[in-house]
Amino acid sequence: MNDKKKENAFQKFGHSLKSLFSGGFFGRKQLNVLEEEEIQSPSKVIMKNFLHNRLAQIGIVGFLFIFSFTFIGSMFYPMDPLYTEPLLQDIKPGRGYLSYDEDLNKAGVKDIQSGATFTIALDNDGKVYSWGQNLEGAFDIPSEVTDETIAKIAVGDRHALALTKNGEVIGWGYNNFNQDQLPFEVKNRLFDQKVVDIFAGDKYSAVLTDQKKLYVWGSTMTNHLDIVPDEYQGHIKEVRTSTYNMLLLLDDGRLVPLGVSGSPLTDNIPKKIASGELKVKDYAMSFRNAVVLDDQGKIHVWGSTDNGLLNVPKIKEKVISVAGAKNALYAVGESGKVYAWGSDALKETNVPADAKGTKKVYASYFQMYAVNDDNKVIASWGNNGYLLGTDGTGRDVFIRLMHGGKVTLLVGVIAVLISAFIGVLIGMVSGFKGGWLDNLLMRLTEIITSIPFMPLVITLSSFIGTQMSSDNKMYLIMVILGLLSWPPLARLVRSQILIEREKDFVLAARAMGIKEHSIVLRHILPNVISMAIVDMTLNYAIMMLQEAALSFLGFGVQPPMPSWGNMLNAAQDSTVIQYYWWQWILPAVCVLIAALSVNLIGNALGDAIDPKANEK
Amino acid sequence: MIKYSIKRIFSLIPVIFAISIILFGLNKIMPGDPVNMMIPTSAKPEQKEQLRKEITEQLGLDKSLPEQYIAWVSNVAKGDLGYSTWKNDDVKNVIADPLKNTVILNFFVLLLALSISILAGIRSAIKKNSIIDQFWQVFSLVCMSVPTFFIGLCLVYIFALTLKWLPSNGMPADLNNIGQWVRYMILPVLTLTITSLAGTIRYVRNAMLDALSQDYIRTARSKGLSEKVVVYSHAFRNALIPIVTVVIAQISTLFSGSMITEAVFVWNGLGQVLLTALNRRDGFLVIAMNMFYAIVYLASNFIADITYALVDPRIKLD
Amino acid sequence: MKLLEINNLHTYFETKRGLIKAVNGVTLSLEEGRTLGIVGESGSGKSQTAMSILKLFEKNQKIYEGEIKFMGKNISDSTAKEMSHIRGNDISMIFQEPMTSLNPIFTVNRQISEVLRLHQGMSKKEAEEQSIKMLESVKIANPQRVNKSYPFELSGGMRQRVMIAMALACKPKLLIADEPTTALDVTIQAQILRLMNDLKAETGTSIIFITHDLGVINQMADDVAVMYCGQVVETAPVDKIFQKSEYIHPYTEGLLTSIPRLDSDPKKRLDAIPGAVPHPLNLPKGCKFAPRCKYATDKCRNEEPELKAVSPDHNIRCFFPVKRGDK
Repeated sequence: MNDKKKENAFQKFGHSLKSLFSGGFFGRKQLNVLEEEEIQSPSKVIMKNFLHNRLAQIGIVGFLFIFSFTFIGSMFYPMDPLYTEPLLQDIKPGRGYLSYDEDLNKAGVKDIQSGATFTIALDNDGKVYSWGQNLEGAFDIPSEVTDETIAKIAVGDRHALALTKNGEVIGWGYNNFNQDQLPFEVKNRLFDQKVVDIFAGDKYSAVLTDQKKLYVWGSTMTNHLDIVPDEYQGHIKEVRTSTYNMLLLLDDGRLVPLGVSGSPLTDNIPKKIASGELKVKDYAMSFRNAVVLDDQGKIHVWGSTDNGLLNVPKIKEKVISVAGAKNALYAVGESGKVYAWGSDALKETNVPADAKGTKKVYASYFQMYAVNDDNKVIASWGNNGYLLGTDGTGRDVFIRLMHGGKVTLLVGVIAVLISAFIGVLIGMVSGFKGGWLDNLLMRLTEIITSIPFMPLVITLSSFIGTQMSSDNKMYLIMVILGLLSWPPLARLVRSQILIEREKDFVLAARAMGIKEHSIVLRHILPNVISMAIVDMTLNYAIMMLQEAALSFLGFGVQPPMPSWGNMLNAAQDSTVIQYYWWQWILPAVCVLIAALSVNLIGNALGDAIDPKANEK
Repeated sequence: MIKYSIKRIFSLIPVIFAISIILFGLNKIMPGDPVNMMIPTSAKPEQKEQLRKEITEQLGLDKSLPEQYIAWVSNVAKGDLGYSTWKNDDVKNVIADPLKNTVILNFFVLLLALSISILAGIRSAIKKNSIIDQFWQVFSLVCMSVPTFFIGLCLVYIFALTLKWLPSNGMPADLNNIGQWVRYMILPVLTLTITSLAGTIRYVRNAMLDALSQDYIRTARSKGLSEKVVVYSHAFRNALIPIVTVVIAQISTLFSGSMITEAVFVWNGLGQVLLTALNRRDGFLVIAMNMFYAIVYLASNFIADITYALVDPRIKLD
Repeated sequence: MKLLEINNLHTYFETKRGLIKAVNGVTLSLEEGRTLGIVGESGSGKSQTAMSILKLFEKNQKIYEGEIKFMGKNISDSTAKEMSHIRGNDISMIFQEPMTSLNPIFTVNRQISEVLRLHQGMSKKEAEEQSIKMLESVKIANPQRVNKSYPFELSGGMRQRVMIAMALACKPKLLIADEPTTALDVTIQAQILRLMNDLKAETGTSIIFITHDLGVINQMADDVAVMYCGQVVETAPVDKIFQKSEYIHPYTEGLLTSIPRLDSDPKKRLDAIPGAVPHPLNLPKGCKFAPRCKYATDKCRNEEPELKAVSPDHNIRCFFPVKRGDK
């Protein structure tokens, strides 16, 4: 044999690989051959063979991991299926949005403003800092800014502006609406004016000049913020921004709205505030709400009822400042206590204990920072980022993976149970009764297998499930998958019974007058059960894959209820495939891990029950 | 031989009958009113009633269910598969091109999958537990556990979007350009091949191992035959019997399985037609598609049976 | 002249649990034109010794030590190519299971012709004619028809005849028959044994006949080798074992007394050897047979005996061979 050596080398490698697989971490002690061959009950032997199979161990660990991730994890991370946040669409994985730069505290905070996923801060020396996750380059402070002493900063959701000591405006980040550069028309107007303040909102920017005039540019098609009435120009003292509106404080003390009118925010401004009767000391805006602090230390809130933003907590002390994030509002009391109300979807109102002694809260979108009397940041809260990014509607992929997995795993289990029940029942009846009933049932089996699975499932799902709710559709999928996948098991059970009936011991028992059915049943039942278990396990993996495929095509579990399959539905778009890998690779990998684990377990079970098949 | 075939065909008749009833039943539970779909939205309200009547009569929907069934079956037998409301054309015209596309796709998949799995399966069986064997074992296990479309998406991501070597989806614009066909077909063919390899490699390997463990292999060796002759002539010829039947029977799975791949690659095949027909509530088309898949299944099983009888001398045909 | 000489042959299996020493120091020899019967219980290594001669090994099996001299040439380290020249040509083999030892999907003609065309370079037609002749020589009544048949169309006895015809097709010097009659009915068994004896007389082929049945040995063999636990424990001409021997190995004695005989007392129970063959991974330290031997002493349990001559053509591996007359 010429290639003997090569063969040997291969064999050795194979052996080492095999020993990798065959060892165990269940603390198996090296048994003597004879001890090992001691007679044990078959189920014990099967269990032992199964547990000592390295691949089975990997499978069990994999499945336990998936199981605890989905079922236990989802208990800790509840999900609102209807939640969406357009500003946080397609955010790539990453955390640490709240990990602010400690250097900021050396010179003291002058301003902190955050965008959707990042924060930019200015200290009293005019230095600019940034942290969080880069979004469209808004995180990368350009060198013109780092070289200069900066007077003011303004941050939109995906872009930022800086105003230098010399009155120059520098912008960076997302620039699809040219929100980063002063447009020509605005520059023209500025020839005799000096910019004293800058503002930024959702894809728009604004400057306020020393003549108290406001110029807005960027994405103003829908919010009309660029239209500043002449009667206000020249009187604008202060500005707050939000998606569709701005609130301007005029020098006569009036508070007036700008932008889209007809909302509770623009129409419900308390009269005293709109007329300037009440002296506004501080004010802030959230998405569709506003809060005003008067000179008495009292606050006034109006706007939409969303997120419970009108349910202001009881404040028994004087308020010294207010702030507004996108979906939450804040008030700081004399005592340094922070009062927060509104949405807590991104932990906006979850003010930490270290926020005691706060003087001012900086809030703009989803990240909040509390600053004390020494102008030092003492606490941060809000959205700290996404471990696995967000999907196309701003939902946390990590949380949806957990809840989606629950659905996928559950759909598979129920489908498999239905299928196993029918399969065993029909197989047993067919095998025992024989005759015309057997003939009929086998015909039925043949008919079901003749109509290809996937097309029929899709057809049924689409025909029956058109008007169904998300929940019912899920049940429908379970039932359809279960009702159409039993034939192989039925055939297996039937043939097993037929084989067993021909065996000698059955003949012997029959000769002794023992009823054939009872003896066959007694001998065959363990066989049928073990076969059914193996079949169910392997079938389970198939069912999960089927659910994924169905939902991928849009005929399975319907959103907003997540399943791994319908999370993958987004991947029908090649932009998603190319740029947002976390949205399709992760659910697919979850399906892979789950199906692989189950297949490993199923194979190992099959081998343990039928070691001969393994020896091949 | 002929007698055997005829016997097999006759045994299929009740199955075909039952399938046709199921398919006809599907047609009836279909939501939405096909007549409504065919009335142009531009029609005036008073015209609509008239049109509705006409179309209902035209489609034979005013008759009783058994009558409708008989009409449908006799039409199908004549080769008239019904009328597609989506394309405003006969179903058989609508599915002619997609059928060709699906067949082309699956032909190459079958060719590739079969040759790879036979080569790899034999190799795995000969070098049992070697690195190659273990590689294929792991490969098929992973392939069995991965959603088909994920393989497709990964290939698109790598070869179409990142490397930009191949188009990410669609059909060749110039249907006579073979180079274009190849470029558009590589990824879907690869996807389907990888998926179908999982099962077949395992099957070939086990069939080969089974054959190699038989006593007659030892006899063949004791006769002084070279290892090649032993493996490829004695063992493989025996293993081929189960392989051939399984592979032929698998053709139908391939056809229905290619649906998802067609969706990923927007390949204008039968799967795409079915999906669109479902979305458009085009009942006759949906039924025709399901019927087609069922016929492919029955035909391939029939062929598998016949082949089995042909390749195995132990099976008597009469 | 010695046709085959096996010296201190060791053939082991590598398994997950350890090395299985299937053949553990076998020494044998076979004169030309004679029949050597190898006898032993299952698991004694007799089949593995035969497989070692043709190197028909499993993947995890190989010769670790020793030599096999065939016609004076050591073939234990032959290459695959050299071996395939010997197999079927100089040495051929027939097996226990006639039902499964023939390839089910090839005709008899194809399977016999294959050997002839490979080793004798015959044409397809010549081979077919020769194949029919061979079938005739093994006393098959309708050789033309059988030649065209598939194995499943033949009975067990017919198949074994086909196997013998195939094995003898190239007129080998040595035929190894591994329990060729075990799976057959008693009447067919007798026919096959007679056929083999006749063919041996005709062709002068030497035979190694492996069996667990001492009765068959008596009928077929000129010399006998008794094997136990991968070792030869006794070699002798057949008549010495069955009658004349003065000394005998206790194991052989056990085998002999466990055969029912027509002249034995029907009321007396047969003496079966107590215990079972030790597990190949758990062999005893001294004499392998000691745990089951009624004569065993401490020496037997601690030291391993060598194969020693008790007379010129009679060797026994035992410290205390039993003397026949003692009983």
